[in-house]
Amino acid sequence: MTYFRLNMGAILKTGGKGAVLYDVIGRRIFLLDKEAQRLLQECENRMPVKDEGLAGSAHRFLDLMVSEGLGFYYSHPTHIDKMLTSSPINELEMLGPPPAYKIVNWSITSRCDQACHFCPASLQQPIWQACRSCVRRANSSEIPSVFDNPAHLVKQMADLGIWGIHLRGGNPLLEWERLTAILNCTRSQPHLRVGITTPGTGRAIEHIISLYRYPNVQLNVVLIGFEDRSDRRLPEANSVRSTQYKLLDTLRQCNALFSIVVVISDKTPVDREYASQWVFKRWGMIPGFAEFHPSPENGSREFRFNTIQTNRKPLLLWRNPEEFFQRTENNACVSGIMEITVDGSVKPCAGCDDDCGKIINNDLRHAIKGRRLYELWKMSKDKIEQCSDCPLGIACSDCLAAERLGTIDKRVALGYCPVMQDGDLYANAGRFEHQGFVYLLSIEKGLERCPT
Amino acid sequence: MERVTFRFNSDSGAEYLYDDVTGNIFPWGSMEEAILKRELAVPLDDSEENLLRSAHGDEITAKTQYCRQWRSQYQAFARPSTSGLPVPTPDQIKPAVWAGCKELILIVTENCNLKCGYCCYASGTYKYHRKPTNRTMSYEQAIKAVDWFMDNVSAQLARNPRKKYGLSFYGGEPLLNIKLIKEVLEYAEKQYPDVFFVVLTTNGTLLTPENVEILKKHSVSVAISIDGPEDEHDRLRVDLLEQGTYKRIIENLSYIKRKHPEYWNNYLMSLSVYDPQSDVEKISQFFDDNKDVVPRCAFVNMVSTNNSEYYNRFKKEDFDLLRKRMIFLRQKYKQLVTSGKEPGSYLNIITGTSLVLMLMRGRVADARDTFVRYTGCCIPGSRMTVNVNGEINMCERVNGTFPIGHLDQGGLNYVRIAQLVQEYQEKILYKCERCPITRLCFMCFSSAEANGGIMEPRGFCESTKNRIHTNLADYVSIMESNPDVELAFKKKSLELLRDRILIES
Repeated sequence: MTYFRLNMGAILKTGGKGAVLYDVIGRRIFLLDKEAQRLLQECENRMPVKDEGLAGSAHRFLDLMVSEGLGFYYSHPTHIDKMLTSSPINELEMLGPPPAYKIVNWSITSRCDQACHFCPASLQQPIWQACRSCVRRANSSEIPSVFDNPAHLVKQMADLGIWGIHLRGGNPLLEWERLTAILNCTRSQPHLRVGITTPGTGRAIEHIISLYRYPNVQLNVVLIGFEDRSDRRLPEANSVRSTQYKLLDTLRQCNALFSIVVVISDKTPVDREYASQWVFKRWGMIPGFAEFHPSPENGSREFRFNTIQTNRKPLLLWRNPEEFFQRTENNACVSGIMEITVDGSVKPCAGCDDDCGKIINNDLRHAIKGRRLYELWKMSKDKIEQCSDCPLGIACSDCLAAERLGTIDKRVALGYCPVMQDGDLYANAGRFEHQGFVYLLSIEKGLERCPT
Repeated sequence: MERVTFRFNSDSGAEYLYDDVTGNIFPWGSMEEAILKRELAVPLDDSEENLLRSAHGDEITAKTQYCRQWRSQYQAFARPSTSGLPVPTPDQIKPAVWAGCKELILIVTENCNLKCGYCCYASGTYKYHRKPTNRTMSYEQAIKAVDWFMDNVSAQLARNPRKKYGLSFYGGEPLLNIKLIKEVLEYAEKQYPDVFFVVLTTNGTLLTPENVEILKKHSVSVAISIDGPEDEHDRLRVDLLEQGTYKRIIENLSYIKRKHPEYWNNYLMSLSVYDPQSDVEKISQFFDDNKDVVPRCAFVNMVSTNNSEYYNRFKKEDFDLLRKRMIFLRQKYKQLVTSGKEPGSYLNIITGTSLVLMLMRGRVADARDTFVRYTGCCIPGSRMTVNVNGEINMCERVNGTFPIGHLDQGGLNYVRIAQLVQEYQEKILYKCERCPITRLCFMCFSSAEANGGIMEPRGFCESTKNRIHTNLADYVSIMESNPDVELAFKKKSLELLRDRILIES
């Protein structure tokens, strides 16, 4: 008898929406049609390849799998010890290695000199990657004592292995003393990178530029100027826009490191593509995006997050096998990240409202001792209700806040996943945005490139 | 460049290759072997040349590509030769010791109310171990140890606030000094709340109602030595008057089960030791038949062979019989697991643990300490053991002739630890670079101990290779036989390992 088994680095995932074959080392994704799924599942269940199959299309298909290095024939019902890059002992929580802390998003003030219509955002408001922006949450009251001893907090962050502190607001430039006090503390931690997210207003440009005197600082300017446009010309008459553009022009002239985030809401008259091209043309960079939609009480129409443009779902390739397995066990959006709010609460991100601990007496370590933060880090797609049936989750990078709101409000879920309702992944292959790493596999047609 | 792989067969006859670089197991055959040899520029013999010539071109191309993929991504199958492991300086060894430290073991007394036949302290058959004495640890010494320990793991705690450390009470019979245990627990809970999980290893004869109240109050996990049914247990586990202890222990356990059923269920475990005359089949059955009173078995070990005359008393037939019984148990275990049934706790440990360790083996991304890169060895001090007089040993298993410091002399002696690591490198690790089982090897300081230092134990490498070979073959055979077994096996394995980590403290 002849058996066919997928190789140890070829991981087959199946679900209600079809099947996906991940080539972990080769960094490819294959969407399978139903026949291919059935055949490979039989093979993975150690069933022998049927004789009639050997002569026909199934045999050709398995030969194709061999030539692609995805599996081989065997004369025994061979065990394939599926690839891992770390011992399963890492799952032993507190007995295993320490959590991989990466970034602290630290909201240092709820003050802001702008009055954006989507801010402060309610807990029910669908938000896409609020952490990139300067959005505030409603009902967040500032507790100044949280900032009593920034040196102690920064030291604790560095001890945890945090490599990035992202200072947010409101507008952190309005709390200049607090901001510079924290930046002073980071001087003694040379490995720390510091991002400051601000609309770039409320302070003279030369003051803002002076922040670059501190080591490893990078500004992230939130462009809110697209909001009130009534046409597609981009005059700089509006004073906020004018201020922001001047700042960005200056940063560019100074060769300073900076990034741009464009805020999109239901009132934004341009789409992501347009904004992206415009920013690229003027400042030579692709911006990030954050997106806000009205809460269910305020809006009833169906919507699509503009970020998931033209009904196409972006897929994200893993950089190496380690990252692939990391994504199977963790939520790629928040794993390693925590948000400290102005009242000292620790949350997984700016969009989620889960209180995971509270900083009391400047003690961050005690605040993150509980389980909740880590449970949210480990909320992989398998544990998201609307995604658990989708085998494409490992390549899908959504915003956890939107995912969690999507479990309550289906409009939100449909807003970020165009294939959620339509089912079958193979049939919806044209709806994925990727860079040529997705392929189609069918018994009938063999291997095809998936349209990008 | 040294090839570090070995081939083995499952029960079905399927061939596999274990690769020590990645920790992966590859289905293998003559063609794969010929392709790998060609990739590693090793001369092929005639049959291999013929095989490659006669085989289907597409298959060879695909398998060659596959092999190259593993070579280029992970340098699989062959380890580059180096000029040896780096020798640590005392300055380098200090952070390495404390970064890996996970447990504080307090020897609260050197006294014991039993005189077990195989005890490394009391039996007189282990020439380098201390003898039982009346010495006990003082409160001041114990508190000093706890504070010293916490002070030194502060950097580790800063990196991982969720970290918990083992705090273990060991003896002699630790319950002979219950007063100190109680005081230390109260102190630790007050000064360092939620930092320790506490384990006590006892012979079970002093689990009196009063002592149990104290242990329960402080959520102490208790590991009780029970070697099997009465005749098996009392053969070696006797008191100072040579009287058996089984009945007393069972009475105590029955009391705990009756009065504190939840505590019994969640915090009590059995430890079991066997020698060539133990009827391990009968013992396994005993644990299955008495699980209402005897806590689940969490650790089974053979009487230590290190530097001991204990085994001189046994005949070849004794060893043969034990081997036969072990083979029977292993077959039984495999049958149960592959058919989706739950083996009893003793069987699960005596046979399952070795297979669990195959599943839990290290993989390519698992970091290993630079100074002791191979074997199962840790940097000395991962289980810091403080004796009654403040002397510090690297763990409770070592014979005490090569201490690594003293609480009254500034704590650890990093110069001495660096010397010991270097000695281990020179006497044990020097040949590991060429070894194909370094990720699975369980050699450590305690298995290589001699009088005052390290010595290569005779035949250890060869017997370990044989055991690993059998373990991998059995592991793969189980996985082959039932596609659904892997997940359940993994879950069970993690539970077993968690117990093992607790118990080893």
